[in-house]
Amino acid sequence: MTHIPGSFVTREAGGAGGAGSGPGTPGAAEAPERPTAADLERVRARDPKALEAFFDRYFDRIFSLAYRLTGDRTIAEDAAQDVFLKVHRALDRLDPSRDPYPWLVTIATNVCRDLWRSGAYRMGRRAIPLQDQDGNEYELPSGGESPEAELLRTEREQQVQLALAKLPEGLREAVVLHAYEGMGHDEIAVAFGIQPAAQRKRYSRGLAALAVLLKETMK
Amino acid sequence: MTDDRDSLTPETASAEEAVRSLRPVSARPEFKGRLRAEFAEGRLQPRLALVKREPAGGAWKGAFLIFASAAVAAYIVLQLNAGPDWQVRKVQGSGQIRVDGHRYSAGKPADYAALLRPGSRIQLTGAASLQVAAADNLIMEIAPGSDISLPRAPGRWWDRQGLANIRAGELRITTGRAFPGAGLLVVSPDTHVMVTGTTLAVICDNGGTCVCVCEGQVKVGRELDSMVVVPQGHLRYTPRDGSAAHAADIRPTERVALSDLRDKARRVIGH
Repeated sequence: MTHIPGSFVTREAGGAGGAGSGPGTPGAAEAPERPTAADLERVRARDPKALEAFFDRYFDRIFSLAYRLTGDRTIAEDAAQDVFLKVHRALDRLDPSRDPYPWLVTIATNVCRDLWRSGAYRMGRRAIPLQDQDGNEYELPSGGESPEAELLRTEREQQVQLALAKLPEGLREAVVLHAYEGMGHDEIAVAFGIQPAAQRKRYSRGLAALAVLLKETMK
Repeated sequence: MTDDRDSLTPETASAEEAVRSLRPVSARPEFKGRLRAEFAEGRLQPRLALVKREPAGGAWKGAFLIFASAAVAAYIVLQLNAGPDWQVRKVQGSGQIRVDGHRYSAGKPADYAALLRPGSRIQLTGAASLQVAAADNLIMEIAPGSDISLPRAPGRWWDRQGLANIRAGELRITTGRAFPGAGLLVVSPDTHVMVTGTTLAVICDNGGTCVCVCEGQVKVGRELDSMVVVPQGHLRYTPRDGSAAHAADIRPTERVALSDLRDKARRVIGH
């Protein structure tokens, strides 16, 4: 378990089925090591080198999260750009004593929520997930599996992504942030200003709905 | 997986595992590289793609908002420009009034006052006379037995020309402090009367139309392009038989009546 001092994050690193409010191994990449307070001070001062390091540390996870929340690569790029634009504008409010990652996740989720409600997302939903604008297959890490296994896994991920996209946004956020992103229920509740019990309930309902959707897909 | 894991059914546990096992996805390297450079240099802009991708909703919504705002603004300006409504100031004598064909007792102005609009035809029968005012623009006194159409009061900034008709009877008019710059054309069966700021009477009898000018001056003529000036204290009578119009001193009764109207009106609408 990685305890992140000064933040409301207690993240478990690896190991499915761990106890506590954290979800264990998230689907996304492991949470990056938290930058030092000195690093974050330089980020606050908008030092270009520190900003590059900050970007390198967090971009992949934010993009991945945006993709899982929106199910569309182009919209995920829009979201990621918007997130880092908002972050840059709000760097004065960055607290170097706290882990910035939950803050980034909150911004990313809010940006995605805005995009869901926009015409852009509704149009994007017509596109086939996991394909880019030219219809090319989306690149996923192969993990060294056989071509058949890789194909099966990719198809399975497409089905899961499609099912996620059908969830109401509140349930989708609850499921993606907890099960995929690895945030604890308490952490999610604090980030979105809701009661932890409400977050747990949303997660439970989201999983139940997702299970039904996946069952229908598998028929 | 969760602290409520024990409560998961096999189906929900499977769904949770399916999400948890989703792999990270990568952005296009060229996008990531550009974003990284712009973030470090503080050059990030909102995605244009977002704007471009929602013209159907966004552009129409924007156009609608602009159109709606313009329509509201135009409505407000039109309302502000609109001339004042006609109000009944005084009713004398008993008789009936017909407003656009509907008959009312002249002594009950509450029944018909709201119907007095520009263009309304007013016919008085019996001994009733009616005095109406359009704020501080105009006061008109409609004598018993008259048949007229109300003009539009001049607009605040534009549309400041009004048109009244008199078919029979007598119409006394005095203009107020808001009238200068405006105009009122009174049309009788025999002549046209152009009013630009004055006190006058237009009397339409069986033989023709008499215009008596108490104050200021008006232009009178059978045709709009051949009008002559009638100065203060004079009248011009235009016979209906087509014979030549003639001028004379103002009728003494009209001098008294118009002076009285002007003096009373001055206390109400100035000028």
